[in-house]
Amino acid sequence: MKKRIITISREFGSGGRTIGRQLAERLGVHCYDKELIEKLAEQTGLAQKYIEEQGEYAPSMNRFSYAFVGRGVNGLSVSDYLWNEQRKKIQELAEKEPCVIVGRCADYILRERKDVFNIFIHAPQSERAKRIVEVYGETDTEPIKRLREKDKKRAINYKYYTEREWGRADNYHLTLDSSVFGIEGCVNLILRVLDEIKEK
Amino acid sequence: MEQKETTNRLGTMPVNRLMLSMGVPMVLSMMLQAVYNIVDSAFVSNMQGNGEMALNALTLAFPVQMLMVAIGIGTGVGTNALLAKSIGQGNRQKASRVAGNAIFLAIIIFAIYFLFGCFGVEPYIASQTQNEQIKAMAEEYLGICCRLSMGIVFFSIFEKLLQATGRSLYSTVAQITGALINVILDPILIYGWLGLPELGVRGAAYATVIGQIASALLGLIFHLKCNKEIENNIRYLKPSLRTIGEIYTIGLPAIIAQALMSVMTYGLNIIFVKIGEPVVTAYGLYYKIQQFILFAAFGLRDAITPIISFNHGMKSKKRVQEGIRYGMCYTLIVMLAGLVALELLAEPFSAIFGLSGETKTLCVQAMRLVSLSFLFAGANIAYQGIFQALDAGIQSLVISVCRQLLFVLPVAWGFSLLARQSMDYMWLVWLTFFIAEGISAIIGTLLMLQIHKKVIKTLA
Repeated sequence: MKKRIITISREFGSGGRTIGRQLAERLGVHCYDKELIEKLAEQTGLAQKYIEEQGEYAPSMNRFSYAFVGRGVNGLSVSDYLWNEQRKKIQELAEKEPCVIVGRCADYILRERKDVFNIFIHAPQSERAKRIVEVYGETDTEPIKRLREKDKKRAINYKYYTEREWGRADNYHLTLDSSVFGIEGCVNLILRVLDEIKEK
Repeated sequence: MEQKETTNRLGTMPVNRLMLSMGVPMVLSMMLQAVYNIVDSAFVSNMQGNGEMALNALTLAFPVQMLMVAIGIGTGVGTNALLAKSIGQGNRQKASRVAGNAIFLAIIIFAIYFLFGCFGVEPYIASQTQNEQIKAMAEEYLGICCRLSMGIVFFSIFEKLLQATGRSLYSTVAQITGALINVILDPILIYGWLGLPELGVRGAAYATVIGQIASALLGLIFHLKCNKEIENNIRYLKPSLRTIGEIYTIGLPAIIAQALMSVMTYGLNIIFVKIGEPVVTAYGLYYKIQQFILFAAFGLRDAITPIISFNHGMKSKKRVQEGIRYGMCYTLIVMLAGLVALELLAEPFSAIFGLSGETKTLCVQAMRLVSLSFLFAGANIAYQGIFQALDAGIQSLVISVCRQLLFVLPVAWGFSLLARQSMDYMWLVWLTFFIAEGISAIIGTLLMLQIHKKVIKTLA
């Protein structure tokens, strides 16, 4: 069965978003990353920066993170509301057209579909630390600490909303170490793999 | 979609109007809960002969009742959050499992209360008083409340199940109905009207639990009839350790925050009884009146949190600051009204409760002195709502601990040593609350400035 939707889950600083963007270009489809955030901002009225952060990261690094958020009478917090809207949007987009979706628990949200291919991009801490300083320009906090913080918050957010472990191999069809293959190398590899399974 | 409309309103309606339109219903609903507590006490205190001792007995039972409410609320908050999430995800299976597990938890919790009602009441009451008559009354009252606590336990669950699906109107109806039944049954059972035997304190207990059971039954009926999003099947009652863990990961902090009230009153009961029984009675009565006013602040807080929370998500510095400003303003206005009311009406209030002599003097003294702390208390409660909204939940907990534990028990105990020597020093003991709320308010303001720098300044 042809894989129409590619989801890219990634460790912070592994270059997953860049890979997603380049992959989409080569495939001639939309890459829903920044664009998804923009669409959601329009739909919900929430700020883009908020959606970028809270849509994927827990508010703090401990497991009681979500115990302390503000909730309305019906038990929903703003990040719950955001997650629900994200989920609906992602399902809508997957239905509409073939595309690449970066992060946002898309691998979990689209798990019932047969035409989704899930990829996880990772890299050793030292490489990622270099990347976030050189390429992202993150110089405020010490890089290794920043990596740990982001990864931990990501894991808690993912676990809270999907009840699965973020980064586990069996959530994905393919995992790649971007420091071994390089960004372009990963894109090429992925394209070859997609070609191969198309034959089956 | 219903939810979308409400949340958009959070981002667009002028903040002052929004706060009032969301806050007033919550304030009214919470104050109603407090009113029937006062009414309960009014009937008991006017009993022939030993009204005052009965009131004392009720005061001793109060911490346990509050703990039951705390556990109910905490479990409910966790259930609610999980349920809302599952329904929002369209995961009907999960939603049903959460509801089922919540009911399973209710059964376990009720069993624990029942056992406490049979075996734990005696030592608990004995730790607070040596007076045989009061002990007997308190044990009777609390024993009944615990052994027949299925009403309050199950109602907390059904209330949350209805709130999670957006049907909080039904839960409020169920709650008010129960409260009304309690109030109507109070005089009938306590004084022995309509041919029923005069049951005194036991009557008050029966009226309370019957009211609670009525609320629970109504809650169950509404849930079965209206909550289509949840499937009700015995198999969902099978406990899932994971689901229960998830419920309490969210609910435990809520239980702790609420339980602080319980610990505070228990501690104060023990400290005050060493000064004299009338002090315990006076404080117990005063506390219920105070709760009526504080609940107004709690109601407003429940409106402040979602408003600021959403506008923080919108990164709207202007609306967040407005939310803080109006929230604080309205809370302080309400507390000021409460303060004035208590200062002016202290004497008439105590007359309603048939108090006399030393107890009356103490109660009036308490109303006049402790109410001075209201403005600070209001500020602290508003701070809690604000901190919660800005993902500063730990700071909210800190304020809670400060104003109910840290600065209350040690200070009250210290002053009580003086009061034991001479009742002339009693006013110092009442000043404890002013000091506790005052220091907490200072801490709250410092935390607010810190949060302002970190969170608000960085907004657009």
